[in-house]
Amino acid sequence: MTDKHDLLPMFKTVAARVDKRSFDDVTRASVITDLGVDSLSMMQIVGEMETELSIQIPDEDLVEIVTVGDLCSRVERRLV
Amino acid sequence: MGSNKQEVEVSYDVSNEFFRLWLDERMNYTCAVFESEHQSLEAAQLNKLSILSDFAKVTANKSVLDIGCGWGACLEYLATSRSVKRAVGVTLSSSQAEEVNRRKLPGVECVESDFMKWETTEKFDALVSICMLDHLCSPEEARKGKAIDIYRAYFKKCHEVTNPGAWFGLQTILRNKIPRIKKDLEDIYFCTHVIFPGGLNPRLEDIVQAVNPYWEIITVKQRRHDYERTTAEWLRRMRLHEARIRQEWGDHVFDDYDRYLSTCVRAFDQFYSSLAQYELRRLDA
Repeated sequence: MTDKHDLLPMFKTVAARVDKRSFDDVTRASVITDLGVDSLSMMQIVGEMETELSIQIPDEDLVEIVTVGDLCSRVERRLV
Repeated sequence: MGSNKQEVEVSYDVSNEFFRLWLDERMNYTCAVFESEHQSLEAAQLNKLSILSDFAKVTANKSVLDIGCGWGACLEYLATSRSVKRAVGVTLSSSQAEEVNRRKLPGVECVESDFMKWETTEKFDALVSICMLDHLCSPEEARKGKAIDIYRAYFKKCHEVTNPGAWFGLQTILRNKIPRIKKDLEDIYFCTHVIFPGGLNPRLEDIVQAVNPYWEIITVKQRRHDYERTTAEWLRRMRLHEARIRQEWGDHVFDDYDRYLSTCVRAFDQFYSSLAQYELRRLDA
């Protein structure tokens, strides 16, 4: 099981797999659009994290995500 | 606001002959309701019209308004199978209005107008509206948080054109889960922007919120798998005419509609989209 208090390493791994490039320098404060991740890739990253963690994030939780930390927090909330 | 006349004509005015090739004989371009595994599309479309007419409490002595009447399948059903004294349809599409009026159905009149701007002093006893609400709110308006206000204005207008005691048989496509697969997202984006520009399917909770304070929801029926089956049958029939469609309307028409209908089948299967029918009762002071 992934460390339930920090999903950042998983985000880096999944984002690298989806976008086929390195996300090693990303922090929780990184703005997702500044990383060059478009909305389609973003939803695919969400989907792969949901599958790996066997969780479902409601769509309304995804509407106001701006930073990597926003996304990680919403996933972490489902793991508590 | 939502789909304008030009955008509606993109969706419905490719050619009446084109749609006639793959829709049922009455040209219903909305979800059918199948009663059995072997029921035909034609019978299932009549079944849908029967359900919505029952929701609207249609009887022969009533006047009925069909909001977004398409090519007049429901108007014809109301005039012939239910023998209503007067059935009025409203559509933004010129070719649909011409098609309906050309048939000279008894007691039927079709008005070419934007329902939200339509000025009439006539009051109706019953309403039917089949998948017209999906054209009212654009993706941009939904992103700005305007969806509920737009749908509520529609239900207010519906209230204004009815007599006290009216009932309403409503059918809407719904959007549900956002796909997590890039190709599915691209395909749905294509359908929203190329085939049905200007419109966005509502969420069920939008409808539940927006009917107040004008209408009371008595019944909601979910028909997701009926629409999956309907679109699969449209796709099957359209592919039978591939050569003619490519020759008469161009490769892009066949390819676009093949992609659109294939996307619909998958969207209903995967619960990205759904369909609901509502029995609504007018709220009177």
